[in-house]
Amino acid sequence: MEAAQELKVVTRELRAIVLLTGVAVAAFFLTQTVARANHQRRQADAGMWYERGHRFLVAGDAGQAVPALRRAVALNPDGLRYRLDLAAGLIGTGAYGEARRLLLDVRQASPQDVGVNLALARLEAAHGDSATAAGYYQVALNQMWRPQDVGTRYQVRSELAHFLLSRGQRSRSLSEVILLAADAPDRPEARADVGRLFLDAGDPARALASFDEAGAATPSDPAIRLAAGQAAFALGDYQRAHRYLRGATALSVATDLDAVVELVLSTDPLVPRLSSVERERRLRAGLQRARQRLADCPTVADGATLRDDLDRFESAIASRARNAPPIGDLLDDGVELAGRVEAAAGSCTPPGALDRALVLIAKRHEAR
Amino acid sequence: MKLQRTTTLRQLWLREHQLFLVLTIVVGVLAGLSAVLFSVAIDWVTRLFFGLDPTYLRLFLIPTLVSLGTGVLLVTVFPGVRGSGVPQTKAAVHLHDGEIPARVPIGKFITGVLCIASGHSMGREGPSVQIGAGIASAVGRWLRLPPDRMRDLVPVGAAGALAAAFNTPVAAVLFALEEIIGDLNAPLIGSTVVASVASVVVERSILGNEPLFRVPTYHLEHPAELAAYAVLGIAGGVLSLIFSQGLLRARALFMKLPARTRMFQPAIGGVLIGLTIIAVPAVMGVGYDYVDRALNGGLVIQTMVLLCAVKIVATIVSYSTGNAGGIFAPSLYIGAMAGGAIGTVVHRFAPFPTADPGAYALVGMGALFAGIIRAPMTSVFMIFEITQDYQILVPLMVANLLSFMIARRFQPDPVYHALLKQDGVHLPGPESPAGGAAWTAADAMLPAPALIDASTTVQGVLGRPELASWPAVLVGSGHELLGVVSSAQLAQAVVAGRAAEPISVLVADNPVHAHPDHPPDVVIERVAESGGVLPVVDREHARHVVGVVTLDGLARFIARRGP
Repeated sequence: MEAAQELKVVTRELRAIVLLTGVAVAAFFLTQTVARANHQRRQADAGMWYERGHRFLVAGDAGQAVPALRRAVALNPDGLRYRLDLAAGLIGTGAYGEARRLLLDVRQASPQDVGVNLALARLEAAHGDSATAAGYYQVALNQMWRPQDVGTRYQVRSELAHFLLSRGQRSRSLSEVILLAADAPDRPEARADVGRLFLDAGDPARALASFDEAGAATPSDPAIRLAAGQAAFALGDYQRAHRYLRGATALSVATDLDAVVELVLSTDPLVPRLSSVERERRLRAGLQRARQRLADCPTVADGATLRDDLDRFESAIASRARNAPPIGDLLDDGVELAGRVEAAAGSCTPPGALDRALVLIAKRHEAR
Repeated sequence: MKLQRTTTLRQLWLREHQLFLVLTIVVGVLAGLSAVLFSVAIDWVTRLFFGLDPTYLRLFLIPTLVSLGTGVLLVTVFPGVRGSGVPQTKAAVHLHDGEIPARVPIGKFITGVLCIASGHSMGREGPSVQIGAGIASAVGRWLRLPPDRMRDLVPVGAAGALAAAFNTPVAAVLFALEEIIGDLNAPLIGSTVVASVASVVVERSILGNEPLFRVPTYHLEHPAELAAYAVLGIAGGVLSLIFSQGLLRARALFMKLPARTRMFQPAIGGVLIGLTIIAVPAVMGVGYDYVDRALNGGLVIQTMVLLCAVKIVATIVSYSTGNAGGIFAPSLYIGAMAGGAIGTVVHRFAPFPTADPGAYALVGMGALFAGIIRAPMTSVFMIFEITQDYQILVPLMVANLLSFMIARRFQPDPVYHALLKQDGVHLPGPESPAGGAAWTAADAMLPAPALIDASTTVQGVLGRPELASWPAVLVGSGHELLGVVSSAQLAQAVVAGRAAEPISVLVADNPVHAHPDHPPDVVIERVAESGGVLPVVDREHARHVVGVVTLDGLARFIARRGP
């Protein structure tokens, strides 16, 4: 009797548990369906807010963009581009701290994401620490890039190279530009860009090679010729520089570099295939100009010493016997002296084209 | 024979234990689902009410008109579902053996969605707790569980609902123990853990495992920063007091209005909220978007100060006018804004390295929660679970403790207890241990004498011979106790020439009283304080006198019981 009663109770409870479980399962699916529908509605709303915010952002109105993008992010916190755009908007409104935190939060979830690292790099580059910025650039660049995104990688590396150059980090920049050259698309403008970066990073030889590649495709592009002339000039190859610069001038690109190069070529007493008379004439002209500069700058440091050196040197030339052999080794000393005077006077008054040419001539022969 | 009976009993006990375990899982799942559905419904209805870009007219009309409708519902169809739901759940556990009528969770769901979605500055967690508890009660009732099991099942439902509402299983367990049951060592810990886990599992399977707020990792940047967090804790305590006192006083004002206005009080709140959200839309609803922004340093100090002040006022208005919604979320909101503002000042002027203002906003949330809700352990774990950030625990504990201590020092009753007291419900405190006392006030009390009408003059009372033997008289209005006036007070009034005044002028607020379950030490202490006649009142209707304890009567009772 007792057992039957107990069985009855157990059966009733079991039935109740099964029924409750069924209710729970049904409630789960109902809730899931409702939650999914709500999620989709939120996504759609977020999309609308994003579109609105993005339009403002593109139009440069960050102030209007941010509230809309905030709503988009609130409705869809996982939307990566929503958050990136919001960060861009916040940067636009000057809310750097919040933008940084937002991006760092996104980065926590997607540490390797190129867009996030790039946004952080740009933020740090503009308003933070250079080393941190360079680090984020590197993280962005070191990701696996799909073949179709190589162009973007090229742009990012170019941005990094420009950033490093702007911070005076030429050697770090040069290594980036070398990598950049490998990625550069086969277009004259891209080659020319790389060439300019090489030139700024202090590698005129690679720069000239890049300009030559670019110039081969567009020989009449005056900008490329000018840049190539500058590279050749930096290399000390004045003949070549003169050739490029003359071409650029002919193509109506104004440059005083051309005048300097011309003067280098026309006043250098040490260029080959000159007569002894011409060499001496050039040397005397250079020294005369140097003396003039000293006269114009009486306060120049070591002015007296330089004047004495000039006097002694001119006496040495004058004391040579008439019809004596060519002045020979005096040439090197004379060129060096003129360059020294010009360099010293450079701090006194702005140098003219001839003055710059004399300094370059001295530098050109310094290494010999 | 005896051994066989013991074995059978043991088997039966185990079976019942296992049955309860299964029930806690099912209740946890159902409570979690109800919390998810409640949250989704609020979200959906908010969009429905306000659209994407509401006009000023719409911002004003929606809370006004919806509150008019909910006012009718709250008075005619769903009485007892106003406000948060946590106090009612506590009352159900402590006074009604876990009995919550089936209409309560249904009504709370409907009115809660309408109130919060229409822009009232209220939270969804308190209602979720009541809905979860109501579901648990309904399940228990359906299964005809005994009263003690019903009482156990309700906190389990509450924990399940809170776990899903906040995505904080540990804090939900602590809340159920600390706040609903009132004992962190309660034997229910296992059941609440099971229900919380079950609830969070279903919640995460539906909504994903996203923390409520996305917060960067914050650290204590310098040991001296603890002093700044201590200042934040003190400010949190003061703000908690301002909020709690404001809420209680405003609610008391509305409760004093004639009963027929009850139906329209939510609409008064609706009008005020409509005007408020036109000016400051950031305070409408739950407001977690703005909390998130404060935590991420996305608000300037002026905005945070403004939002803190307006949120306090808006929440007081919404709650005191009788709308359905909780104060969890507003307390977190106020704390985040206050913390963020203080953090900004510290960050700008402190002579030592400090964390970002967002870290202070985070700690501020915990400090206000500890000060207002008075559940410090729940607060610490909740902030940790919400943010999933260990680094800020030490500053959080410092600020929480200070806020909690200050709030308790100046307002001994936690806000939920105080709200229940306003409703005439007195919950048992730690002085009323269940089943441990040798005797209680109910055993020692005498039948209550008739209440003296408050309009009777002092002279009139002294002229009644049947009262001459009483050391004090109970004054009331109808069947409602107003207070106790001693013979000495009556004599002093005559000497002072106030014999013609009504006796109500001698009645002090909050008369000393006892409840039927109070143990001997409480009864003796209060009889001594009472002036000779201690009214014993019902816990559920604290103005209803069920008996009195007098000094003579108590002496006779003790003598009769023997040593």
